[in-house]
Parts: sequence; C-alpha cells; structure tokens
Amino acid sequence: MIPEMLGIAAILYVAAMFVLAHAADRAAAAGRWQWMNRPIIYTLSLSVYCSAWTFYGAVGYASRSGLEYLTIYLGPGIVFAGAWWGLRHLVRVARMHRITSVADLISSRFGKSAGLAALVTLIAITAATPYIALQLQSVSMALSAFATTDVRPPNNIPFWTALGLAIFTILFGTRNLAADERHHGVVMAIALEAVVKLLAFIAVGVFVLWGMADGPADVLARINRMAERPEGAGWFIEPERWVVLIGLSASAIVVLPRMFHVMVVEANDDDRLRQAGWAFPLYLFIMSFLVLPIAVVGHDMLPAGSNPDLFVLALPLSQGKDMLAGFVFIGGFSSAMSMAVVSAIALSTMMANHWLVPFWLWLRHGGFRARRLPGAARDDLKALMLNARRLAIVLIMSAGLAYHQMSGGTSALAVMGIVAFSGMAQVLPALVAGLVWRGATRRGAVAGISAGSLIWFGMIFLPSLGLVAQPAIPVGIDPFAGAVLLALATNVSLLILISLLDFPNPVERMQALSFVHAIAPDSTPTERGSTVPAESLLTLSSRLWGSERALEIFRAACNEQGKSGYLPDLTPRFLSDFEREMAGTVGAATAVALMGQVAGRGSITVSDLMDVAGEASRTLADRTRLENATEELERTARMLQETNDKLTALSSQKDAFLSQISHELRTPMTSIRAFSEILREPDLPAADRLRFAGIIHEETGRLTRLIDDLLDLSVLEGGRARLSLSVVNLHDLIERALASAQATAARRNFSILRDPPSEHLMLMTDSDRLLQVLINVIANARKYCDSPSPQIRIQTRRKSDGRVEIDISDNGSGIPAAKESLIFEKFSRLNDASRAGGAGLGLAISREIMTFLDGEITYLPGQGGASFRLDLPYRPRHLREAVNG
Amino acid sequence: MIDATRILPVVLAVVVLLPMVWLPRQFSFATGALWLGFGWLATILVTALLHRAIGSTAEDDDDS
Repeated sequence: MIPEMLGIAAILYVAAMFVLAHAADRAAAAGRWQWMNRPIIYTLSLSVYCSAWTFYGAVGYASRSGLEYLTIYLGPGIVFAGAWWGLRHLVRVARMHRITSVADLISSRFGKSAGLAALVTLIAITAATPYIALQLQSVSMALSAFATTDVRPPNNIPFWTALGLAIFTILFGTRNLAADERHHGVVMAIALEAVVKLLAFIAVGVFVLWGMADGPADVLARINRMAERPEGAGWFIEPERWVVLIGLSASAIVVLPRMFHVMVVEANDDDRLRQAGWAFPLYLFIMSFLVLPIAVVGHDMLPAGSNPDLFVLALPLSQGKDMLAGFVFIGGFSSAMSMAVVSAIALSTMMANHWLVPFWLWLRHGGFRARRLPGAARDDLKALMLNARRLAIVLIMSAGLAYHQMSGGTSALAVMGIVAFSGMAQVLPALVAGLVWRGATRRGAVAGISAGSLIWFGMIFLPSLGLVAQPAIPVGIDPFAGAVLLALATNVSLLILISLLDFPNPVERMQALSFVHAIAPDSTPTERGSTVPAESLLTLSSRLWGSERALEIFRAACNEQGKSGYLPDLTPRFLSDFEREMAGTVGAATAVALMGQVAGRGSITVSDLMDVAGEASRTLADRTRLENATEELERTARMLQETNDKLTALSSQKDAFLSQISHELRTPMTSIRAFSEILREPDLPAADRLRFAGIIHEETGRLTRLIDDLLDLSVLEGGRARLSLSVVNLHDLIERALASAQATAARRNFSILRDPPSEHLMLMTDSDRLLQVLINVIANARKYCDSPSPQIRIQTRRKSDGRVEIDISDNGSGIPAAKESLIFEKFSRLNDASRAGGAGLGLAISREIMTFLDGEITYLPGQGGASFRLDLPYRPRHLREAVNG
Repeated sequence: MIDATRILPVVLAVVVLLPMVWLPRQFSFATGALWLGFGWLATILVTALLHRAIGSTAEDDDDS
C-alpha cells in the first residue's frame, strides 16, 4: 500500500467527518439533538485524551521504559474513580458560571480577573504547542512507515495536515457564536473517531496477541524475559518518576484545554459522569493494556533498530497484512485529528476571549457604547468574536508546525506529550485551591502559576527544544521528575503563602463562596444602582448572539419577572444572570468588561460586603428561604403594579377617548350639517353644489369608517367574528399589502427591503384578516417613520415548530419605551391626531385579529426603529384540534 | 454510598502507587502488569456498580 493511497484514504475520511459534523450541526439547529445528547456520546468524546501519543507513542514508550507508559492512563483512572464527587463538583460549578475554558474558570473564581485569564491562556498555548506538533509528526511518521525505497512519502506532510485540520476546525468550530459554547457537530465527529481508533487498536492488538504471539500467557513470559536483556534495564520502575507521572496525568485529564472542553464545557449536565465514571476508564484500560503485547512482540520480532513508535504499523506490515495496517493508519489519523481539532477549538476560544477581544476593547478605550452604534453595525461584535477565533486557530496550528520544525521532527512522541502535561499541571494548584479553599486569592494564584510556569519553561520546555541544556539536578533524582517537583512545590508554596498574607477583594470573596460550596452566584450589591436602559443591553446582546436569541433571553427574563414585552426591569438578579449568560460566550472577565462599559458599573467596596459577611450556613439557608418568598412577593407586586399602571393609563385614555370620539363624530357631523344647509339654497351654482355634496360624501365616509372600525373591534372582542380559512401564499399577501399601503404617505419615497424567495410560505389562515393586519402595520410604518431616507424591511421565516414569523421594521426613531405597553390599546396614538389621521384603533384591531387567527403581534424593541413581529401557526389551533380529535 | 465514591480513588491510588514505590524491581514486569490490570479492572467494576446504585437512589429520591 503506497503512501499516496493512504493520503487519499485520510482525505476521504476527513470528508466523511465533514459530512457527519455538518449533518449533526443541522440536526442540532433544527432541535433534533436529543439522540446526540446521550451519555455514551459524552463518554466517547472524552476519548480525545487518547491522541496519536497513545496510538503510536505509548507503544514506543512501553518498548523503551516498560510499564511506565501506564502512568499516563492510571492518573485519569484514579480521577474518574472519584468522578461522582470531584469532577461532578467541577462540572456543576462550571455550568453554574457558564465557564468557557479552564482559563475562564480560574479567572472567574479569582475575581473575574482578566490578567489571570490571559496568563493561563499563555501557559495553555505554550504547553499545547508540543502536543499539536506531536500529532502532526505522527501523521508524517506513520506515512513514512509505508514508504519503500521506490515510493517515498510526499514532502511537507505536517504542513498539509496542519492546513487541513485548521480548515476543518474553522468550519465546524467557529460556525456560530453559541451562548453555551457547545459544538454538536464536532462532538459527534470525535465520538465516531473514538470508535474508529478503538476498533483499529483492538484489531491490531488481537492480531498481535493471537496471530503473532500465543496469547496473554506468552506475552507475560516475553515481558519477564525482558528483565534478563540489557535493554530491559530501562524497564525498571523509578519510583519518583512513577509518582510524578501519575500525578501529571491525573492533573492533565482535568486541566488540558481539550479535556476541559469536552468534559466540562460540552457537558449538558453533571449526571452523565455517572456513566463516564466507569466507561471512560474502561476505554482507557482496553487501549492501554493492548499496548503491552504490541510493544514486546514488536521488540522480539522486528529487526533491531526499528522505530518503536511505529511498531503498531510495522507489525501488521511485516506479516503482509496491508489492509490491517491501512486501517490502523486511519485509526491513528483519527486520534491525531480529534486531538488537534478539539485543542484548537478550546485554545482559540481562550485566545479570542482572553487576549484578542480584551485587546480590541482596550483599543476602543471606552468607546464601546451599544447605544451609539448605528443599526447597520449591529452584528460586528459577533463577527469580531468569530474572526478572532479563526485567527487564533490559524496561529495555534502554525505554532504547532513551528515547534515541529524547530525540534527537527525527531523527538520521541512521549517526550513531547510529557512536556505538555507538565506545563498545564502548573494551573492545577490554583484550580483545585479555587474549588476547595475559600482563602485562596488572586495574587496567590498569579504568583504560584507564574513562578511554576517559569521554572517549567526554563527546565523542561526549552530543553525539550534543544535550546538550552538540561539543568543540573542532585544525583539520584530523575531530572524530569526533579524539575516537575520543583516547579509544583514552588507553585503551591507561593499560592498558599501569599493567599494567607493577602486579603481578597469583595468579588473574589463572593466567587470563592460560590465555587467552593457550589451555590448559585449572588448578585453584587453595587448593581442595584445601575441606570443603564434595558434597551442598550438588548442591543449589546443582539450584537453577540443575533437578534432572535437576544429577544428570547429578554422575553424569558420578562416572563420570570411577571412582565410582558421584551424589556425586563434591571433588577440585580437580571443583571447578574445576563452577565453570566454573556460569560458563556466571551468569558467571565470580558463579560464584566463589556458590562462595565455599557452599564458603567463600579467596583464593590468592603462595606458592600456586609451583606455577604454572614457566610455561615445558617444565614445562607435563612437568606435563601427569605429570598424565595421575597421574590414571589416581588413578582406579584410587579404584576399588580403593571396592571395598575395599565388600568390608570387606560382609564385616562378612555376619558380622552370620550372627548376624542365626540370630537371625531362632531367634526364631520358639523360640516355635514353646515353644507347640507347651504345645499338648501335654491340659487347655488351647480359647481358649488357638486363640491359641497362631495364634501358631505367624504365626511359620511369618514364617519362610516370610524363606526365600522368600532363595530369590527367589538365583533372581534366579543369572539363573534367568523373565520374564513383558505390556503394562502404569504408572498402574495405581502405584495397586496404593500400595494394597498402605498396610498399612505404616497409622496414619500420608501425603499422596501425584502427577500421575496423566502416569502413563499404557505399557511392556512383567513387571508382577508391577515391582509388587514399587514396593511395596517405597513401603513403605520409609512406614516410614522421619520427617517430622511425611509426604509421598510420585511423578513419572513418558518420556525422549527412550523409557525411563521413576519417581521416588519422601519428605520425611524421607533416607539419610546414608556409607550410600548400602550400601543396595542384602543384609541392610543403616539403623535397628534391630525398626523395620524385615524382614531387610534388600527393596532388594537390588528392585535384582536392576530389573537383570533391563533397568532400574536408584538413590538420588538432595540431594532433600530419601530419593528413589529407577526407570529402565526401554519393552521389555527381550533382547526388542528378538530382534525386531530 | 457517596462516601464509597470518595474512598475509591484513594484505594486505586494506593494500589497503583504503593507496590511500585515500595518494591519497584518486583513489580516492573509481568507481576506488575497483572497487579495493575486486575486492580484497575476491579476498581472500574466497583465504580460501575456504585454509580448504578447511586442512579437508582437518585431516581427514587426524585420520585419521592
């Protein structure tokens, strides 16, 4: 089998993953993702831990150092044995705070510190670089195993691999800015890859165990024979290395960015750890114990001087099993690909959230104010975030490639992996202390992480590149274990010492309480003074997640507060929830910075902390109980207040209406009376008679319209209207509505922004009634839009539940927030009557019609002008019930 | 039962660390491989049984 054929197989395999990831993303977008949400998918996605290092490097490692390679799997085995209390606490806290990465977790725990997040990101990227280089090297090394003297593998394989993986990651890791940082397509792809690599490894393991050796007993005998050989000297366990490596791998399973991503960020809830707690160690067990037979049989049967990292391919090839070797190559490629893709996603999120976006905000230097931005630039924050991640992915892959080139591509795979593990382990003390010790402070964490990382960088990372010599360590201690112990000891000592001497700031204290006891984070006291309008926050969130998602969040908050509409009261709870929701996308520190700039929130003083001072559990319990009761009372009070305000407004409107309607009726009546009296004059010229008759005709028309409207409304309100159902094409209705509404403000030149193909939606409804609503809303937009270059935008879409939404927006100054709740009431007019030219019944009638059609009309705030949404079922409910019943 | 899930990682840690640190020469070859293999597999089995039991208890709690 020639390398080119394997290259083509690898490309086809990546293409299949593209299709799978794409299909999974589409299914998730359509809401059909329950089947992807099973614990088995979660467990399989955790197998991203088994990268190319496991596939190739572990065999090489076992061949050189005996059982020591098992430490890399025993550490995670120990951590997962305690998954139900240790990891569950981590997942629960991380979900509570909508954590996006390990840097975000540490920054969030230590007072949402942007500097700490940036530092952890730096370490994560530095540590991951050799690991990504390892994946690139494994692909080119594996291809070289198939090379013969006639057929050489193509040049630059690491470059093309890096490029391909970067494209895959950009396509599926940065498709959209999810509020929860989950990537269903990628997770499905890595779950399938987990199965492929397991099957490939089992296939080669079984072949070696029973096809080349005589079963497990033979393998054990061969292992024992190693003790007598000179190369078996490396097999003797060095206790300090054994302990250090188990510790490192146990920490790696938690702090490696890719593991944190699949284990914590992609977890839907903490219950799936119940299955993963035993199934993932079982996966590791199978993979790791199959390594031994491959290593010893390879050692015995392959010619001396063969690269042990390639035994897994060389063994089947030596027996002429090319197809098996090809399958194993795909398995190895799978493990490299899933590791590189998930690492790049996790690291790019960290880089974008903790480096690039804060840098951009700093450049804007406080110029970031949602309300100042024109409507056209609404989506720039989302684009900025996505582009920052794409740039980060390219940078990460390039760094991996550069490390590969600098290290000369000759290092053993295991060495590169251990360098990465020991680097990320510097983050562990701060993470564990943050979760179990309330006294740990930001300064302690920064000092510990910085000192530990510097020692790691000087004593492990640079020597791994060959840039500096291995530092001297007292005789008798393994240099690597010595360096790791020194770095971690310094790290932990500084963390404890400085934390004990330091006094944490108020935000830190609150976060500490929340992280250690897994209590939902409380609102911070100073938030109560916020005066930012809710609309600014809505605009900010629209720019992050798009208008739909933002409106959904705000509507949910309104419902919770017992309010209608889209603009909730800015209670401390809402602000705190909103900040956390945003942290789920941009990280806690950046979310605080964004809120700080939009809402102008100040810092918390020590006196504010008096509320939090009663941290004893008794106080907490009392407070929670009181809070629940108060919340309920507050909600009821708000509802009553809202109803009361509305009733008061309605009452004054009714009074105003009585005088208004008297006026409306009297004016035409007066002119009819006056002109009919003139008509009684016998010698009136014919032309005047005709003109006066015309005026009387017009005035009676006005009266009739007013009375018709009132009757229409009373019929609709009384539920006496009759539904005349037919199947209609929304496009035709919109065309007709636009044509009819043209008579309103006919002299103004409106640009109409539409997407006609998307309007061809069929629905069963009363077409005349719906047309009436459309004309009304469009005519209103024409009447009230005060922009010098007026625009009307019409957008239609069918939602996943079959309902149809029609958004009609203009680019005028919109409706003031104070009046939004009244616009659908009868006789309400925002401007003077003469300009409106109606009795103020249009929107009231529209609302009644929409209710009658089993739909809804709502006003959408924060859209850069007045915007109305019509929401309709594909057929009215009573008809559906009749059909189903 | 929750306490058992706390003890389990400690037990596994002792199983994989103690013999290797104490008698490294004896446990470097086939004996070590068998010891680690059976020790780990037993832990996985106990974890699975514990987690299953916790699951049914949790469901009972939910029902009540």
